[in-house]
Amino acid sequence: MQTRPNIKNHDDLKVIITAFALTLTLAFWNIFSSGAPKPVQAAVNVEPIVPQAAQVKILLGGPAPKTTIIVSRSNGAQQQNQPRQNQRQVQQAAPQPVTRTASSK
Amino acid sequence: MIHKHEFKAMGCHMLAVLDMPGEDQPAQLEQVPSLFEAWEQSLSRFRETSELSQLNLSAGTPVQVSETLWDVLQESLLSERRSLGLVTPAVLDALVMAGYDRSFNQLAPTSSYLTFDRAPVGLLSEILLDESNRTVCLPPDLHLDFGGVAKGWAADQAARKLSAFGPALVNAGGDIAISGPQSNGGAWPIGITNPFDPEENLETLMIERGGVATSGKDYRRWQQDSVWQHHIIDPRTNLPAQTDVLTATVVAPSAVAAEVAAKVALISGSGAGLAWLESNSLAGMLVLEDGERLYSQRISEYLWS
Repeated sequence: MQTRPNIKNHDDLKVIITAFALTLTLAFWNIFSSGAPKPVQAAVNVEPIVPQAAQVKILLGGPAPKTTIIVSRSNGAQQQNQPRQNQRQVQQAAPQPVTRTASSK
Repeated sequence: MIHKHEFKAMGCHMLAVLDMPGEDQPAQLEQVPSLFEAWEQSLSRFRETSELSQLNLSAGTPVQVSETLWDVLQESLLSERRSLGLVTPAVLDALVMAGYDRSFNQLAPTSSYLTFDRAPVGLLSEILLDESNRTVCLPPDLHLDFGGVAKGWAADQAARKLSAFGPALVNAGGDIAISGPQSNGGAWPIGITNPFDPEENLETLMIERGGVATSGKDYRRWQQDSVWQHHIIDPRTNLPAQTDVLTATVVAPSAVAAEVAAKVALISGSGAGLAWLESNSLAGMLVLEDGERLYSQRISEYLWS
């Protein structure tokens, strides 16, 4: 009795070839479209420049120009504007009074 | 170096402080009580022999007065105008009728005095003054009591005299005069006594110069016919002031100005009193009868916390 002929299904092979071709195409696309590779730089923290008085940013375009004003203060000015009592609170407890005021005694 | 000298005068505890180098007590401090004694002999209404008592007895007759009495009388008249009549020396008769007819330490806690009624009041505008020879003529129905104005004035005078030797502070029964910053440049820490717990301070003020005073109905009070009376007379009614303020503390350019402002705030009551402080740009704190505390805007310039 003749054995059953080995019937091979070629569908799997087609899928593999298609996937390989697609991957290869994307790889080449990526290589040739990105240009020269850039050197990797370490992240650097750049201190933001604090504007001295007011930074004016004008946005052009659109129906009408709008002006955005960003007001900034240096740390020194912020401390100056704080109430005196807040400055003292971070220093120390109240000093021993030299004397006291009260109703006539 | 802070040197202190405590003594009694004008029926109150007094304290004189001088910031001077050296360990020894400065002789200038020892002389302060004699200054107060001289002023008291002139200004006290409780001493029959005082100049003020003699002036009150001589109502209707021109009397030449000392420079001290003249100055304090001028200060009282000025205070009367600044306070719109709320702080006036013309309340002696009302005080006596309220039972405050002797020095406070002689008053019994519960006593029955005269039937309480409104006292007749003379007008300050009827006082005749002659500056050229310092003569004063009181109208017949007007008798004067300088009260807290005399204490504030005395504190200012004593601090000014001591300031010739160094930064000075004088506390005359709660009316405090400060000549200037301490020798290290710092302000003077002043406690505000809690009227509900006199051992405790409600706040600490940091004052470089000027005055601070507290007026209150928490201490000098007495019972008359089962009704508690106190020594702050409201000239509008000529009765002890009906107010929800228990104590009022004010910082001002001088002790006498602080004393007058504190009394105005006390007599006016919490709402009008605080509004008056704000309208005069004064730093003040009111303690109400229910314990609530009210602060004027400018008090933050002096509060430690």
